Amino acid sequence: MLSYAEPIRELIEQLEALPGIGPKSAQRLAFHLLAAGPERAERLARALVDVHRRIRRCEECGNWSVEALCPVCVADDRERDAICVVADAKDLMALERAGEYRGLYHVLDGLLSPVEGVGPGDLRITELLERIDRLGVSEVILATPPTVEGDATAEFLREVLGGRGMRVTRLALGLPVGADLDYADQVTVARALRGRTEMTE
Amino acid sequence: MHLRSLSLDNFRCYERARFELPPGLNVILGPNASGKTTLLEAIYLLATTTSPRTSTAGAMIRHGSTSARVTGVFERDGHEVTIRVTLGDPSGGRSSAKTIEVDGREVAGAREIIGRVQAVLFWVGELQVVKGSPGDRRRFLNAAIGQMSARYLDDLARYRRALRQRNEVLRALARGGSDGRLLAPWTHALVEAGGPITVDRAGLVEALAAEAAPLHSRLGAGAEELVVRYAPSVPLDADADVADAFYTRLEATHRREVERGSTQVGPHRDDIQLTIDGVDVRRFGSQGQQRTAALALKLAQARIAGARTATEPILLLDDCLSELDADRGAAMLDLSADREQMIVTSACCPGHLGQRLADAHVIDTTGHAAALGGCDGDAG
Ligand SMILES: Nc1ncnc2c1ncn2[C@@H]1O[C@H](COP(=O)(O)OP(=O)(O)O)[C@@H](O)[C@H]1O
Ligand SMILES: [Mg+2]
Ligand SMILES: [Zn+2]
Repeated sequence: MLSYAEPIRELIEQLEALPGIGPKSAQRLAFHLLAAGPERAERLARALVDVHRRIRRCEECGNWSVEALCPVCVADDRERDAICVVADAKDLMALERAGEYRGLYHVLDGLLSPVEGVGPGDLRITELLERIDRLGVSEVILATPPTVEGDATAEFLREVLGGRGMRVTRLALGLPVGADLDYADQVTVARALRGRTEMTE
Repeated sequence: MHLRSLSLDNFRCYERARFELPPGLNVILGPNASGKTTLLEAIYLLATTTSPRTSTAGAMIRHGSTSARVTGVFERDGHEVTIRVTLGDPSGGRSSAKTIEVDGREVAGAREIIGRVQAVLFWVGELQVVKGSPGDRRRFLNAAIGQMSARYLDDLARYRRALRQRNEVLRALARGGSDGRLLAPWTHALVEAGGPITVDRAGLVEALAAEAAPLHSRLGAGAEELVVRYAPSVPLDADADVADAFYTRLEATHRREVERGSTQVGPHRDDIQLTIDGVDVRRFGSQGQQRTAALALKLAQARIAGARTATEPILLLDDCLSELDADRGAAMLDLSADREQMIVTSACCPGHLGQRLADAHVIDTTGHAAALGGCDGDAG
């Protein structure tokens, strides 16, 4: 059987190794890049190399950053007595886009998952504790995702942070804004009910 | 609710077929291997997105084809809903692919169908509820509750995930490679999902017990009394919180769970006890008793689903008539006379059921199979 020339095979293989890209999409992308000409390819290659050369971890919070400190950590209008703990930088950006939160962040770099061999030592927990003590934080918001692993990681942190005297809160699981209770996903409604908050004093 | 029409494309032995079904009793008649069970399987697939016979989507695709398609038009309170399941990939991709569309819009999965369409199926595999392992009975509970509650399915998925993670920590503890602080968050997750599962199951079994006993005696078992009892791994006590009870049981079994590297208590260890006049049906029941008990449970499930969701399920009964004697067969049809739609299969036309079958709508699979090139036919 005729097969693709070696460089094309290599490109398809590299693309297929990316998340969310199957063999068919990999082929399509490879031939698209081939047809688009060398300039297009060089721009893409440069971007790939550049992102690794120029982006590093913020020394404070773990966010991706061009400088030693990320824009959140250097900003002088942020409240420095609250830290919001997120699983990864993607979640940090999602919270930032909402524009509601004015405190600092801390990127854990994953979630506890014994089956995948991820323990507390693999997450940036020591760094978190060090920052909490240094900054004298009064509130830690646990904003890990509402999955089993996200909940368990939040539960583990709640235990670790207990006794340090600051407030520890968990991001509420709510209903989508504007959603009629009638039409909201049954699971969402049930979980919002379980996570309901007290309104009386 | 009822199914108005069913279309099959390259589904098992059907190359192309379309059936119109009225409400009320529908009887699928045809010789062995003519595609009777296949029709019920197709309807069940539309209602639940899964097959009772196979977990491999590819197995339902007609030999020699790359994809299969089942389309059903259902009617509920005057509203029409069209569900279409496509198996495999028409362009020759993965045969395990499964696409579900509701009214032409692609949806993510079973969650979106729950509450819209419901079917309850009784087929030979259902005997496992009585004869099989505790795992078979848990599967019955999960399917019955899951069909009424997407939230239950979510809890179940979370429970399984938490259990896997927790067992991994237990194995590490046994090797001395972990400490108790790492177990606590998974215990928390386990209890959080497991508590509601226990409560839901207790509620369903209580309802089943109440519904199944009279159905069972009307199915001809006469004075024999069927008792259905939930045997939860975490005991439920009216005065105690289920979460507290779960924690207490976990603590009590902690040494053993570390030794064995697996969680010893929880919904994954539940069972249902079935007794007739105080005797365990699973171990001592006759074939006939086991069959009647299983059928009573299934009919009870259909009644509960109808009452709880305001969506009357379609009743699908495979090969029941031939196995029940005349009185029981008639009783079964009468019991279901108040159902909106019931679809039963039979290899022969049991004459003794007389008028009841004469009034039914008959679908003859012999004709379809012949006209369309037939089934591979392991008949005989
Ligand atoms: N994927 C498939 N492609 C073609 N034929 C199939 C496929 N799966 C099963 N069959 C055939 O379908 C026929 C009908 O089976 P079934 O519906 O169980 O018949 P019945 O219930 O009438 O006895 C059988 O002969 C079987 O061999
Ligand atoms: Mg059959
Ligand atoms: Zn930073």
